[in-house]
Amino acid sequence: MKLEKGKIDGRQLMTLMAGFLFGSAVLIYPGQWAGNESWIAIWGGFVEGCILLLVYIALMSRFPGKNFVEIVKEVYGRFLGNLVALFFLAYLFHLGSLVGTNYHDFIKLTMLVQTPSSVILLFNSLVIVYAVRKGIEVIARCSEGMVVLLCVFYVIIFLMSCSQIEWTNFLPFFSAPLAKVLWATQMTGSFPYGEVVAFLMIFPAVNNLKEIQKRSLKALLLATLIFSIGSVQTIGVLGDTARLYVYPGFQSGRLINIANVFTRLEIVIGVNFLLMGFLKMSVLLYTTVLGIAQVFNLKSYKPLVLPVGFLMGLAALINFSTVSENIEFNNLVYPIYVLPFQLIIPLITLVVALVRKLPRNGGDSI
Amino acid sequence: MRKGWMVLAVLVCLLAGGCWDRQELDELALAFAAGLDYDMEQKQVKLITQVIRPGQMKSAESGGGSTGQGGQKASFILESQGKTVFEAVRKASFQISRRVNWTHNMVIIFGKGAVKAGVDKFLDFFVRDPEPRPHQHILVADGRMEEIFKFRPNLEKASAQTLEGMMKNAVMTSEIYPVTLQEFVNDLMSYSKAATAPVVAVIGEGKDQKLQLVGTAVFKREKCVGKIDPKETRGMLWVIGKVKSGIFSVPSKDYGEVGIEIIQASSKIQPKLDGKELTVRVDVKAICNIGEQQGGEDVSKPEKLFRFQKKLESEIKKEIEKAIKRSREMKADIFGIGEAFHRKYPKQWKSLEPEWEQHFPKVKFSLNVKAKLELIGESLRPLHAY
Repeated sequence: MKLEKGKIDGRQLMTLMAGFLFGSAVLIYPGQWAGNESWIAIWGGFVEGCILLLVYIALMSRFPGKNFVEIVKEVYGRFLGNLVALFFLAYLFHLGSLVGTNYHDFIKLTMLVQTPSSVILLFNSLVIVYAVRKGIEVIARCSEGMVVLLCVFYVIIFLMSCSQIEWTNFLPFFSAPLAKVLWATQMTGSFPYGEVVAFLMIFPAVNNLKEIQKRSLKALLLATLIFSIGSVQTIGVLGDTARLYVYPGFQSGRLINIANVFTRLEIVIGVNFLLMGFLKMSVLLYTTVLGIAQVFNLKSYKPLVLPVGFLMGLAALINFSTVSENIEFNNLVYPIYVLPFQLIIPLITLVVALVRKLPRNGGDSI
Repeated sequence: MRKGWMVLAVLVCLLAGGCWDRQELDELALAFAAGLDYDMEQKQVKLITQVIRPGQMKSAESGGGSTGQGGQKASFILESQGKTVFEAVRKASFQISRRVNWTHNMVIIFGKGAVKAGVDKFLDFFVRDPEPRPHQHILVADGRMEEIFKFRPNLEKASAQTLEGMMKNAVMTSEIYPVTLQEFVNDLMSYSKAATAPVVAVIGEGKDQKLQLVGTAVFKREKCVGKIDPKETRGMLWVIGKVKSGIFSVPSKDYGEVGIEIIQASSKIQPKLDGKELTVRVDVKAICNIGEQQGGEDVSKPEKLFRFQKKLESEIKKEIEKAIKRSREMKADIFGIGEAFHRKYPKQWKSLEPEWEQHFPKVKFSLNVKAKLELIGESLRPLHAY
């Protein structure tokens, strides 16, 4: 029984995954923790992300045409499989709500100070619910345009702030303590790279399974390049003051001033985040409801979209009581918290499948 | 049904734009300048806000300088107090019918009390709040601050605009170094580098009043430790390579006073650590034109020009040496020499940094100034020769 009949092609998978990676990371650029060594953390995270992705793809290609919930059901049996699947889906749901939290934190801190978060999240959830009801094909098609737009915006913003970049801000190289850089690498590896684990639910929708590996790695590379540009811009323009701000990338956009004509361009960075946040939340809501429908053997995931979408918005509201709690969580807890979902469950599933020599009848679903 | 949804969507977009935070232009009062002072005894922040009347801003021709239509002044000032800057900012809004909006603020001026108490605590609001922009210029007031705010400029509508214009014109002499909030905060955060800000004062009485930038205030950490004059400021700018343009008057016996225009300048700071000895090699390159010559002996003949170049170089050197002398007196690293050492010797820097104040005056400077005279203007020989 197939719940999702939509098919996306390799190119759409690439843009969707890149957009997913950009998600909230275009704003809270990864590797901030490492100060002016953040580019090392970004590329370290990229390597980590590639390794994780290869694990996911190895798992996926053992069970072609099956998504993660179906895989764990086959590997662990009905009861244990469903339990593992629910555990995993809870993570996706929580991740979606975390993106929502970033979303309304950002809007409230920088633009709409007095608007209640609930209003921001209500409208946000409405759009996402609408997109997810239309299915994966529609989200993927959205991403095609949006990601191109983001890359163009990003490069333009970077070129505009080039004149402000002080290259000496990058010196001295390798001055941060190793432990700090390693922690920043793990932070980058877990956010955003490791989060592509959600795509284990989406890979079966790709019409040509052979393309997945190449296209996914390309998406990772594209995201890394954009993050690198972003971090060069932020460190170069802000220098030490990057440590001062909640959103250094946004602040570096504020400093653009070309002949007093092109000013206040930080809003472009804000719009980038809103677009990519939409993509990321849509993907996460979609994977969550699809998984729930499969666990409970429903005929369609559509009735679930509205309630789960609004629950996600509500969870975003109650995740943290203040912004600083969110930042603390991202810096200190999240890189450890995700390990079971991003690494341990997929890896153990792969190992168990290898040991049990699954699938037994040589991949019947090709 | 489908159409109904479309209409609803469009309506939401039109009516809910900006949500709770919508700001109508005719309900705002735009702040152009903020003056911050601190009362040590009462522990109160004193804020002066220069607010403009948008209606009066556009009538440019109607005479009287800072007055617009109906003889109303285009700007007025609000004075408020509070334990925090934020409190004072809100109290300023409380005195008028509109909310003071800070997105277009141009300058932040510190009074005597504020620089004595330490400026960083007053800047936190301007960094934290989403409204103020990082491009605002930082200034220090010499004398009474209200005079600067009440000053009525001849060309512009408000003194904030005059100050903003002066900052833009600073490159013409390079005797003033304008700093934005962003740059100032960056310097404040550095342990070794001393932050600087131009000093502004109102000179003269009554109708002859004028605003003038009289020097540069030097901050060690958050506290002002002294002032350097415009020439010393240029000496500092030579070293950090921020001289853009400017005029030199070089006196000499044969040529009379010669006016030299700086066209381009650059610098390179190379720190060297030799055991315990800190040396800095500063290479300054300047390209200049001859703009004027008052004496009769023609300076523009090649061999004389080359000899004159040497003289120019020593003049530039003198300016730099003056600045170095002042900075040593104040023990304030206005050149960012510490940062240069940090970049080149990150390991040794760890032991240098805590006592940088002691180390800095002992740093040996070796100055290499290369000046090049390029253009001589449209005359072949000085007018005085005839």
